[in-house]
Amino acid sequence: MPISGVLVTCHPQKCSAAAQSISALPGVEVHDILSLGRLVVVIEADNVESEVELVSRMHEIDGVNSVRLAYHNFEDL
Amino acid sequence: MEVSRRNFLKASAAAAALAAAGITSLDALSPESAGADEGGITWGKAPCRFCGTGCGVLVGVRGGRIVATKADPESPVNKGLNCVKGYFLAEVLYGKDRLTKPLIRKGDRLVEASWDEAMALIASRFRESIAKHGPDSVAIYGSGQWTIFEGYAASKLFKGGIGTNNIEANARLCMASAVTGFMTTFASDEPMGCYDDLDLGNTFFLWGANMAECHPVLFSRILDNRQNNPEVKIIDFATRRTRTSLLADRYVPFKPQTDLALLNAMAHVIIRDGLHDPRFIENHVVFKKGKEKIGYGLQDKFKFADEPQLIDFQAYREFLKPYTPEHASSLSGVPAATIVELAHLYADKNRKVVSLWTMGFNQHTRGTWVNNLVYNLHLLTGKICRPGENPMSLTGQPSACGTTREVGTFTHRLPADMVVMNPEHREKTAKIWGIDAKKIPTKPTYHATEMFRAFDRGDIKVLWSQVTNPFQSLPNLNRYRQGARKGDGRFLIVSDIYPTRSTELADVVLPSASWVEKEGAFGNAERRTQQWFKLVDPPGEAKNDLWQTMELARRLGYGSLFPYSYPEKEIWEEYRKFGEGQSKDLAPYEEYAKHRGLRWPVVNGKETRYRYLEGEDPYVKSGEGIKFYKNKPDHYKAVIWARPYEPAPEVPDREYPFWLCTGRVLEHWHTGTMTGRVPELKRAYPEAVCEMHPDDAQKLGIRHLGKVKVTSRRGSLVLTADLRGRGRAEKGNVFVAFFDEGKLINALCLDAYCPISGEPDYKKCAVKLEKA
Repeated sequence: MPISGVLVTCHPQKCSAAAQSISALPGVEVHDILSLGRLVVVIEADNVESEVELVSRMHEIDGVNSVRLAYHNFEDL
Repeated sequence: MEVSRRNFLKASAAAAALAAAGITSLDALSPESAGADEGGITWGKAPCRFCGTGCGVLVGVRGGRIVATKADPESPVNKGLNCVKGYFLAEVLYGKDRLTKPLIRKGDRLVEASWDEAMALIASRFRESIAKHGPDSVAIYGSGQWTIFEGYAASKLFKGGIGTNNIEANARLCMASAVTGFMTTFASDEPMGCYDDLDLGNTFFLWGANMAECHPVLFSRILDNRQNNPEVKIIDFATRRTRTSLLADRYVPFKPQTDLALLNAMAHVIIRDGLHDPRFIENHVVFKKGKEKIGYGLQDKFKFADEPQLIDFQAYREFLKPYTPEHASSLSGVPAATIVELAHLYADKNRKVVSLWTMGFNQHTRGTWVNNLVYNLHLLTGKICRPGENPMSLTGQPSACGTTREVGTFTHRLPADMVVMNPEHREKTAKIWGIDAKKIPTKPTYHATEMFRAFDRGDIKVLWSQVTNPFQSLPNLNRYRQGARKGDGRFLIVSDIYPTRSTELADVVLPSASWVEKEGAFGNAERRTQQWFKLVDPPGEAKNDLWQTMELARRLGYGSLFPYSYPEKEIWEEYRKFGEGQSKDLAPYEEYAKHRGLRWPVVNGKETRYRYLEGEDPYVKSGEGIKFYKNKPDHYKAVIWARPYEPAPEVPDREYPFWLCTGRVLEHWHTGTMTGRVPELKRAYPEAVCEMHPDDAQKLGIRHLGKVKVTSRRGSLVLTADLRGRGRAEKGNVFVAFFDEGKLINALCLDAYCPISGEPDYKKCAVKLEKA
């Protein structure tokens, strides 16, 4: 199962609502809530396809400005 | 996977994201300790394979296979964060249909062959064509994805060995107008500013650039800047509402082609209202006008030469007179008050202004002009060269700058801004190449569009395409696809990593190595040159394009041009002689192995952030302030050009009432030959759709996700209509992405081009729409 770490940047006023929506996604953990509307998110999924779908869904959440990838491991694929 | 390993990887993932956010102390697991338990993974650095941003990537390899990637935290470009395409960096190398053996056409089939058979056949066709029809009957067509070494070897073989200027690159289709814009305004290619401007500026004008989808990492830098600085404003001038428009502070839609009028109107307002900087203009600017009504290159062998004339400030002012905000408003649809307001914003003394653009300006039948016009605004207001206030053309390919522009893989160019027409330039080149200067032909032959026209006519017989997919990407595509299969001695060679719409037309297909399957170097849009080493083996018998070119050279008897034992390093050291002392200086090869790229000119080991600026650029002496030192004929000044608004060659009419624009989407890169291999990408954006305005759709009885037939004077295609996608067409416009190999939308495009740059306009032609 691939694992990735992403940094999500949100509109500051909408950050906590966005964090809730993001943590409701399957296999997604909001690891930290930082200043300036930033969230550290860890994604675990069955395959890269599902990871990307989760990232696309995050992008569509109200208040999310960007989703950027810091780390991606797919060693057991 | 064991639980402990999983937990370790999850902690590593979080630590990497935290580190990118500037926080390392919160997590018990620091990146240093992460390095201690890598589970047998070794890491190497490389720039990303996709766009021209040049993000740094760390590539994790175990057992000869890539098993992990990290955004490089030491890269100043992306600072530890990649865009969503980072998920696919490894997967694009591991598609099931990778080409692993050379293929030779036998009738309707492409049949596996040995390298020796394939190269012997290619060499014999080159020899035969050159003997019968001369050196200008053979050609090579490469791309902004060529490594610097690959582009250099191709140029040296064709110009210095075979003796033809028949070398071009697909960058002609994407960056040529930026080059001619830089050359005509500053007499030197590539930007004065750099990505630091994205962090340091506070007013960002985007012109037809959907940065949120096409340059997401750079756009995020602007968004991060705005998050920290509430005074930051982003103005999105565009013909289509995109994700960028949603995140901008202002979206200003305008009618296609009227950017020319808008920019002139803003200059008009700036001068009318006394907002220009007379001292800067006095010291640093001359004014010129060129020819008008310059044509569109629609006929084969179209030729154009500008005749620049010096004018004065008064004459320029007179030229601008008709461009009142009201007049520009009537052409563009932008309210006159908005034009005035935004002209004032450009000129506001308290604002640091950055202009950004890509294909909206460059793929334009007046692409050179529109580049000139945006420089005019920066030169009138003196907002140029200093940190945080610069114009910058973004690039779409990883080495459009580093290879095609800097090495000069175009028919008229030689390395370091030199040209074949200049005897001194030929002399210098010949000396470095160790050849007789007479070998390099004195006249350019064909730019990209004309090269494929010549192939269609049969003037070019043998054409080799490397690292690109012209038979999907060219405008007015049907003519060129048919031309390639006309027979009569025509012979097409295509080197690629996957089967494409170009390999299907080829007589020989060569399997290539990609990205970290070879050693390489790319140059990004901010003059940053980045090097990487080979990290994994290419599959099967696939080979580096550099090897392929040198192997042809050897078989044609030009092996002595490539006497290298370590080709990449030795080519680099030879190549950098061109720029030395010419303000295009590059560092020794080893330096690039140590650094996350260096921005040229690199003098005494130090890179340059801002060109032409004292204290930053080593070519500007103390006390000179700003000096456009490459423009000697104009006394080291930059040029403000009087360039008029002229209409597009084909505008919507009763029969074909809509504008068609083609371009990219976030999930797919260019013709999709790499991203199309990845199943999850295909699913996220499975086929090209036709974005249209709901009112237009309603009039035609077309529903969301219903079928629409799009027809131009050149071709027709049935697509799914998209009225609610993330990109929204303005009324009277449609947008279709060109990645889909099953929907060759560029066949509908007109092959009109900018007469100065030769770059075609994919953004404007007339189509009709019907319910299908």
